[in-house]
This record gives sequence, C-alpha cells and structure tokens, in this order.
Amino acid sequence: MNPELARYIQRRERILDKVRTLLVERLHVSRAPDEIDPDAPLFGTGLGLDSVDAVELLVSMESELGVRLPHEGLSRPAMRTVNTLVDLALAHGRTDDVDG
Amino acid sequence: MSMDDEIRALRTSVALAKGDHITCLRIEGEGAYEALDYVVACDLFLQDGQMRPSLLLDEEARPFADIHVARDDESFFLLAEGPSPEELVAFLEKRFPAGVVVTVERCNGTLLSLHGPYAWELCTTVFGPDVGSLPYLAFYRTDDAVFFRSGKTGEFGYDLLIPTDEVATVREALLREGAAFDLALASLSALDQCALENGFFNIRREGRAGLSPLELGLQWRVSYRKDYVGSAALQARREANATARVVWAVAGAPVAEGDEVFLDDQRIGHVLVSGFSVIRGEWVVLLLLDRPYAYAGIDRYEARHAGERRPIRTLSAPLLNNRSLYVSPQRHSYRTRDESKLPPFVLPL
Amino acid sequence: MLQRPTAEPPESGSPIAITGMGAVSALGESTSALWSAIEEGRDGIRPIERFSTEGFSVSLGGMVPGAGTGDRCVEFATAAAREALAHAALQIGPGGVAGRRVALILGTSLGMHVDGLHRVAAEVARALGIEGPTLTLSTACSSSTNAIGLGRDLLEAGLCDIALAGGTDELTPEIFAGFHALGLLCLSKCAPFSEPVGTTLGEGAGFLVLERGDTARARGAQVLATVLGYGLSADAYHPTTPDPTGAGVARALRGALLDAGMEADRIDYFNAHGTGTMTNDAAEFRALEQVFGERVARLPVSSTKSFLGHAQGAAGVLELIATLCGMEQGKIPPTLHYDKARPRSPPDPVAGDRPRVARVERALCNNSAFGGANAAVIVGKAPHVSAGKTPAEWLVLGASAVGPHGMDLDALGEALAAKVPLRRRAPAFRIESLIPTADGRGMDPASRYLSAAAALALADAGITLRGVKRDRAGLFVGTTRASTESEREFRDSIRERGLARLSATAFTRMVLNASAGTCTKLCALKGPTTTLTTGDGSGLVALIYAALHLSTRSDVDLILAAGVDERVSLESEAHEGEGAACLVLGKGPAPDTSKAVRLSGFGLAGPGDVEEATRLAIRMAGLDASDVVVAPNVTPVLGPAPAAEAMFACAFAVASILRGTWEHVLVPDVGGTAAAAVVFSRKGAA
Repeated sequence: MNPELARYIQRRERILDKVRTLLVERLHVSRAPDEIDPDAPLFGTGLGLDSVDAVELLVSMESELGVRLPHEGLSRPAMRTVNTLVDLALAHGRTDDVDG
Repeated sequence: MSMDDEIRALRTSVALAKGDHITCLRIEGEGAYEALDYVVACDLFLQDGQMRPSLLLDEEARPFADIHVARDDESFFLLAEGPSPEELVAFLEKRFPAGVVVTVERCNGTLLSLHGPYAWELCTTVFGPDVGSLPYLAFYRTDDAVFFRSGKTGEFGYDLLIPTDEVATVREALLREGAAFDLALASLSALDQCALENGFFNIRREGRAGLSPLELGLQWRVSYRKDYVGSAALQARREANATARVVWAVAGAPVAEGDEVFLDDQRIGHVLVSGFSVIRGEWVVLLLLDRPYAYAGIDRYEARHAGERRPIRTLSAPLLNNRSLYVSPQRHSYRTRDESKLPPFVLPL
Repeated sequence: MLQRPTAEPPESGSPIAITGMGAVSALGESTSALWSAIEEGRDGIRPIERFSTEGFSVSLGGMVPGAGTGDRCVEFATAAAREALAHAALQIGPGGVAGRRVALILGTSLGMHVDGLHRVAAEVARALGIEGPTLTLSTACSSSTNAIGLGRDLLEAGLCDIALAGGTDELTPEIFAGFHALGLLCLSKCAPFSEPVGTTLGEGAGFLVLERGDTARARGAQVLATVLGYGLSADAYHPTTPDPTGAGVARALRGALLDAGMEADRIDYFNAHGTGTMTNDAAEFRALEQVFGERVARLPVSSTKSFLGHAQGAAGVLELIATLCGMEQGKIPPTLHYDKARPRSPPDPVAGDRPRVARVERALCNNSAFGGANAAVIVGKAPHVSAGKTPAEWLVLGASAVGPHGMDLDALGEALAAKVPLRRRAPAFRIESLIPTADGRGMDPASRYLSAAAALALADAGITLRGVKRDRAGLFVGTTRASTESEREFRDSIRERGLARLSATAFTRMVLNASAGTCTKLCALKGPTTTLTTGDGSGLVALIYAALHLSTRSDVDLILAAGVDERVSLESEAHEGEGAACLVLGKGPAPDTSKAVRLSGFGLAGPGDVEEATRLAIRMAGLDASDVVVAPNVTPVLGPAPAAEAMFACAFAVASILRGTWEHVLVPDVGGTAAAAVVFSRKGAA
C-alpha cells in the first residue's frame, strides 16, 4: 500500500478507536468497542444517544481529541454517525497524533 | 414526473409514496414479548409508543427482513421490508419458541408514507397536531389509524396505517392539502435512492448479497447479549473476524453493481449498489471493500466499468446534509421558508 | 371517611384557604414589589453580577437585587415566609398558634447545593419557630407547586393547623452552567411562546399561608383565595425533555381539574410554566389543546417567567402569587417581551407590558420539571367545598427491598435474624434482568436500585401495568441526595474541564428527583410522582404522603412508595447501607387475600417527636401500644441508610405479617426534620 494511504488509514483507525473509547467511557454506551461500527448512527436507537448526550459528546470531542468546531453550523452534520465524528476530528482535531 | 423530480420534492418539501413494500403485523398475546425477543436481533429496549429498527436474521445470520419493532402497551407492531407477507408470517411461526402464547396478524389497513423536510407540517394539516409532535421512532394511534414516525430517507418520514376503506379519502386529502407544499408522488425507486444517499440499509439491494450485519455495518441493530435466531452464526462470524465491510463512495462517471474496485492494480472489493444522485450531481455507490481498505475519506480507489477505470472517492454516510436537520416543527413552516438560510446539501469537507 | 389522626377532626370538606403571601424575587423583596413591577411592565432580568459569566454565551439572570452573602436559599425563604405570616396576621409561639401545629413544606431543587437538602427547611423552621412536620419537596422546577398541594393534604388530614407552603432557590453558577450546557438559555430576555427561544434563569422564594377555612374564619383571617385542587403527574419520558405529545402535562392538568371537581371551561386564566424553551412551550401548548379543546383559542395564557426569569423550585409559588395578586386586582399578568408568535403557541398569550383588566374567578397554574415531574394547582375566589373524600383502606399490595442483603425479602429476613453487620454494597445487577424493556445505559446506582425495587414490588404484587392503568399508578420517593456516583462525575467534569464545559448528562442527574424520573419511565408509572426529603426517615414520609394522596384521589389506583440511598463512602468495608425499598400501596378491597396487609395507621410530627407520631399512628389504627410489635432496627445489620432504612423495616414488617409472625407492626422513625410512624396490620386482625 502507498505509504501516504497507509498513514491515513492508520490515523483514521486510531481516531476511530478514540471515538469508540469516548463513547463507551464518557457516554456510557454499553457495547464493546468492536461492536461499534464506523457507520453506526449516534442518535435514534443507533447507539442510543439523545440531545443531552450530544452536548457531552461535543465537549468530550474537544477535551479528548482537541476538536474545536470552527462554527456552530458544523455540529449537526458532524454528529450523525461514528464516522462523521472521525471526519470531524480529522479535519478539526489535534494534529499532534499523526504518527502516534 | 421523473425520479429526479420525485427526489427533489422529497429532499426539499414533501413526497407521498405507497407503503405496499412494507408488511405491518400485529403481535399479541401473553408471550408476545418472549416470542419476538427470540426472533428479533436487537434487545427489545422499548417504552410504550416507541419503535426500534432491527433485523430478522436467518440461521446463517443473513438479514431476512429489515424491520421496525414498535411496542404498543404489551403488544407489538412489526413493520417489515423484504419478504412477502406470507413468507414473513411463515418465518415467524416456524421460529417462535414452542409453547409461547402469541398471535400474529396482518394489520387491517393500507400503508401510505410521507417523507420530506415538511412532511410533519402536511401531517399536522391533515391529521392534527399529535402526528406533527411525534418524536423520531415513536408512533401514535387513533381509533382506526396508526402513525409511525420512521422513514429511511434522512428526512422527516411517516408511515401511516390507514383503514383500507378510508385510504382513498385520506390520499385525496393529502394531495389536496399537499398542493400548498408542492407535494410530489414518489416511487419505491426514489425511496431506495434516498435510502442509499443517507446510508440506510436496503434489504432489496445490499440485503440480498448474503452478507451478515458484521459486513453490513449493522451491529448496532443486533444484540450479543441474548440468544435468538441467527445469533450463534453471528457470534461465530464475529469471532472469525469479518474480512470485508461496506463503505459509501461517490463517482463522477457511471459505475454499476458488480463493478470491481481497485487500488492501483490490486482488486480490493466491488460495487454493491449504485445510483445517480440528482442532489449531489454525481453517482452514489455502496462498496464492499476488503477490511484493510474499508475506510471513508479515500480518493485513490477506482471502479472498473465497461473496461474503463473510474475514480471513486469514499465518504462517510449520510452523504447529504439533509434539510430536515434544520427544520423545526416548533419554529418553521413551508409557507414562510427561507431557502437562502438553509445550509447546502453537500458540505465542503 | 378518612380517619383523622388529630384530637379534633376538622370540619368535613372545609375548603383550604390562602390567608397570606410572601415573595422574594428579581422584582424585589415583597409581594407588593412583585406586583407593582408587573403593573408597570418592568422585568427583573439583568446581567448577572454575582458570579462571572465569562466563557458563556449568555449573561442574563433574574437575580434578587442586593441579595446577602449567607445561604441565600435560607435568607430568601425566611424573608418570604415572614412576610406571608405577617400578611396572614399570624404569630407562631406564645400568644399565637403553637409551633408544633404549624407545618413547613418547602419546595427546592438545589440537589447539588448541600449534602442535606432538608437543612434549608430546618433552618427556616428554626428561624420562624415552626415545630411541626418540616418537609422538603424536590421535584426540580415543579417543587413549590407540589408543596402547595402537600400543604393542602396535610391540612385536610389534620396533621397541622397552619401550613406554610412554598419554595426557594438560588441561581448558582453550577445551575447556570448546566442550563447553558443544555442549550436552554435565551441570548436575550426570555420571551415565552415567542422568538427568540430559550429561558432566562432566576431565583427567589415565595410562601403561602394555608389553613382550613373554618380555622381561618374562626380567627377572623382574610381569605385571599381557596386552593381548589391540584394534580401531579409523571411524564415517564425523558430526564430533561418534556413528552412532546403533551400527554404528561395534560395528566397533571386533568388531575387538578378532577380534584377541584370542575370542568376545564370553568377556568378563566392559565398561568403557564412557559419557560420559553422550544420543547417546554410546545409540549405545554399541546397539553392545553388536549384539555381545553376549542376553547384554547380564547383562553388567556401567560408566563410570568418573562418578568422573573425561571426561579426553579420557587417558580411555581411565585407565579401563583402573581396570579393571586392579579385576581385580587381584577387583572391578568401579561407575557412580556412577546414579539413574534411561534407557529404553535397560545393564541391569546396576554402579550403586552401591562396587565389586562379581566375578572378571574378560577386560575390554573402549571409547572413542569426535569425528571418529568408535572404539577398543577387551581386557585379560586369562590369558596369551595370539596366533595367528601373517598373512604380509604390502604392495602400493601407488594413489597421489595434491594440492599446489602441482596434483592429478596427472605434474604432480608435472614440477614436481620442473623444480626451480623453486612458491610457491603447493594448487589451489582443489570436492570434488563428485571425490566427487559429497559435500556440501562448511563443509569447511576440510585436509579438502578429504585427502578429494581419498583419492578420487584410490582412483581410481588402480581401487577402488570397496561394501558390506562399506567396513568393511574404513581411513584413517591424519599431520598436525601442525588446519586453520589453522578455527583462525582459532575464535580470531576467541572474540575477537569471548567464550569462552562461541565457534563450536561451528569447535570441532569443532579436533581433530587432524577432517580424517580428514570424509574417512572422504565416502569411506565405515569400517575402522580414526587420526591421528598426530610433527611433521615425520608422514605417513611414518602409512604405517608402516598397514603394521603391516594385517599384524596379518584384517578389514582396505586402509588409505589420508596426510599432510596446510594452510599457516599468509596471504601468497600465502610458500614454504610444503601439500596431501595418499595411498597405498592393500593386502595381496598384487596384483590387477593394472600396479600392482605393493611397500612392501618400513620402519624407525622415535628422533628424528633417520634412519640407523637407513634401515638397518632397507633390511635389511627384503632390499637393500643401493647397491641403492636415494633419492627427491628435494620441499621446495625444493613448499615445506616437515611432514606431507605425505615422502608427496609416496612418491607420486613409486611413480609412478617404475611408469614403470620405478627399481626400489627409499628415502624417508627425519629427522622430528620419530621418524625414519622406507620402501623401495618394483617387484614382482618382486630
């Protein structure tokens, strides 16, 4: 695999792990990390989060992954699935964990 | 009306569709919970009036039906897509645990469905405020009709179970009042395309590929804490580690079901479903990729179509920034909408 | 008729009169200050100065001007209570009414503010010389509305002669930050039913003096209005979001109307909870449509929060005082800041900056709260004679205890017989094992214990609640503090991330009624609900209130009464009890003779006066002290559990009667701010 692609996938996987951990530890999602599919919806009955959890989720994304929303308008499209959270962290999170 | 127009209406105002691809069953009796708990793949965490999306799996852990299960007091509604009503009832009756007191009946009535960012408002106009104030995945019943807020398009969606002899009248009323909402009629193909764009599972398409919830990314719809039809096979597949996973992508040129996907010269998967998105202005596809490559946000893959390599870009579903995210039944109205204030359907990454 | 535990049973059907009012609010430190500001269209909402709002997008609050530096909850309440007593021309103590015949019922929501929420009421009682039962209701933002109802019930039962009922709350940085995190605060002054959406928080205290009409007449008191009825309900929906269908609020409104024996069309004015948030206002309006039908188009509906901000636990009583002031003047308080109507909102919001001249004979006031606790009260000018209350035979239909002994009553009996201190926590279990339809995600131990105890008690009673029966089943809980685990999570989030980014989920579990809210949802208990605290003995007081409430309602079949504690200590060996015990209280006749235990008597008295409470309970049961066995003290075995321990004893007593060990069992508790005692008897025992 092309090294750049490999690095991207590695980074994505790492952030995915962090998001899963955050969901289990901070949001009390009662699932094993490997049960949390990247495309699992966060709300509705997907992972079972609700509007109050949404607040905690954003704050946790900031404290755990350094995500700072550039503007309020991004919060809704970013909080749809686990993968949209990973996208958010990739675009607006800390960049210091690129290699580890 | 072309499918493109149907989809435009569904994405910006309201669309009315038939619900005859959905079977609605009523499960009753002392053992209703126990019986369902053994065939439905998810934990039945349900308060009265709530519904959950889940699956009926076969013994090999492949989806047999795409369902919503709804709790009505101590009875249940089961809304299912995939099998015919007869196949569905036979599946259940064969698999319900022996000795459990349970009855399965097809609900009287005909299903109509409404979808769109202002579907709630048309519902309120025609049926009154109770339907309009329904939260997602809840239902409300009157003496003879049931209103389910479900929907698989990413927009406000309602499945309305109407007594058959009143369907014509209700349909007329929806069309009449719907004129003010620029209501369009939507076909099943339009609903399927919308489901694809929003990352909803479709039993008629990828659901026929022999995949399990592990490859389909549907583990959130299943439980690993209980025994049910297909649970043993699912557990075994989980322990064996799935080797592929579905990923959404977009393509500028047509790609089709069955097209192979490559990274450079390495075959890494194939196209499960493909359809043109009039809203995105490009092809939206569902891929099945080998696990090491199954990630969103990659623009190095190509699909081989008609002997030609076509670049595709993987993305996180949903692929649309649905207007329904920004429309509030407490604050907005179709009549006074200001489209300039709504964010774009496709956000720059 | 209801057996009265007093020496002189009051006149039957005597209306409950309001004879005094006192208010401390953002509009000033008196009732007249409150009303004159409303008359002039002046709100009390200003930029908050008492604490820094840096880092928040909102800086407004309805703060009490020039508030002191001590415990503001106590200061506000004491000042408001003094005003109310003076207004009623009442003096407590020598030359006036005896302190032990005066009850204090305080509604407050500051679950996170003090370790023992009952201490606020204790201090107020001490300052005023009140020596009767001192009860604290804590159902968040409907606390004081509920307090007025309980005051009515205590008076009707003859458990006091004067009830000082109201509420108090301070706007603290934590509450402000919590509401801010939840996105509930309005950027400008709150504009109920209108744009922009959101609420403005406030604070203050209000009290009413309540007494029986005959007593009031006898002492020549001026009757301001009559409490015609009240209703409580559980949304059984969500910790902070109201049931959007409005069904929960509608149940409370209908309960109040039924209690007052009147149809909705007799209501002239509706004082709404009207916080200004999108979800509250929409759900409340939906409820109004259901209860008032077509008439909602003409019904004046206003929200006093546009003047006061949302005074939390004190909101209900302050809004009721504004309503009463208006009625006295022939006016309706307006909704201020009303600009652009939301699509589905009251057609007549009494918009404007001056009260509307209108004759109001009967007003309905509603409040809703976190945890889904709704309370509504109807006041009127017309003297009201309540229809003689239903005769009550209280039956204990089921019992349960979840604690260090395990989860069944036999284990409790064995542990008590063995008399060995258990020194362990309540068992770990998954709530789904008891309530298969319950999602246990994020439940703290207190909620788990309570929900488990409720489910086990219902199972013990052989009751499956279906359909409308759920609307007729309630939950009354006694407890002393919010879940310690949730409290730690809340405190840690503030310490680690700062106030502006505190944990919103943990914040929603800081209200004292959070566990009751979860339990009503999981067990589908949609009837009346409340949470109260008296410190020690809280569970027993909840049981007594459940009995009082059950006997005054025709729309309630059963109430689950429970005590719940989650222990404070982190040390595994600490001798501290925890868990929950629950009784299912129903009305006779017993459906199944094998479950035939009666709650044959109860008594409630001032702090420490367990002798009086016991005397009342035994006499009400028609027994002599020699007839009753005193239930064993469970504390040496289970460890101290302030709210639950007396309920453990009750569960044990009921089980013992069913086994035929005893005929009559007394469970007394010296209590914190109220002493309590109950007697259980085998049905048919003399």
